[in-house]
Amino acid sequence: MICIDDIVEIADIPDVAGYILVSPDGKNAAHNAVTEPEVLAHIISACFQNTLSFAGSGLKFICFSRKNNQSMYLFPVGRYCLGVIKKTQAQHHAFIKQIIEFLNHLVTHSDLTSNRRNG
Amino acid sequence: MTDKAIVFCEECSQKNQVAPDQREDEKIRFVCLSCGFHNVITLSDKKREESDSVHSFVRKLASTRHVVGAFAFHLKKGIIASVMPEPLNSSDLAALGELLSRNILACSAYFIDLEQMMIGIPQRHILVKFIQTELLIVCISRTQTAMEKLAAVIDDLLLADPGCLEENRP
Repeated sequence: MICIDDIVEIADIPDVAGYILVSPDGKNAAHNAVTEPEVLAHIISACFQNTLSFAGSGLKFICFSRKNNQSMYLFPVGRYCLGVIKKTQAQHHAFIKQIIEFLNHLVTHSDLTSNRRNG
Repeated sequence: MTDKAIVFCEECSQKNQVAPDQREDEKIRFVCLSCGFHNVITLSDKKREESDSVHSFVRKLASTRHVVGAFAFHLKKGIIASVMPEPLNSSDLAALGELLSRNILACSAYFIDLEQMMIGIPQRHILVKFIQTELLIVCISRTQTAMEKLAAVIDDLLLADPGCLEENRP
């Protein structure tokens, strides 16, 4: 079983500019380098639930591309949703691969434990 | 700003520019530069032509390699053009368009420079992009690479002719 303390290590990936972990009830469970995390958590939760309603458990990622290239990616992590902001110079494909590899390395069970830690 | 009108060939859907002197009374006559088809469009068919411009746009996207289908969703009018595989009926598409538009609008409130949304699911990738204030295009491709190329195709089409969907503004 993985815990939130494991997830926060995503901030150590060089191409990650920031992250936010959103709980199933739409709350900010952990974050680093994002502004207005509670607002963002609410938006992410709504988008995540909307997408799950037609994509189901097969959802791999959602990407919100921005003109400044600091795109935000959402990944399902058990019942949680992990939002990750990409650094400008990072490449889309490589970034997705890195994050999925990181999550695959961590995820052995679908539920997160609730050791809260905010960045 | 040119006086030339943009019209689409009824045979091959290619975009053509028509000069004012090619208009006669209530008809536009032109020979498609791509396939040579002789087109005659009556101006009384303006409504149909408006819809055709979006249909042509969607058809072009749907005919791109590795693309499964595409549709245009208007926030007020719902689905206005669709080239999608059979299993999805119009109410399914409308519901999907509604969900996708909610997602992209919600995120636009946080990121004001949001360009598009991409969704990865097994065997399919979905691209969602606003091409006008209330009109979004949804494309479904088999590969992630194709989806990224589609984003460029949409940009190229709009860049080549920013007014190609002008008449569909609500």
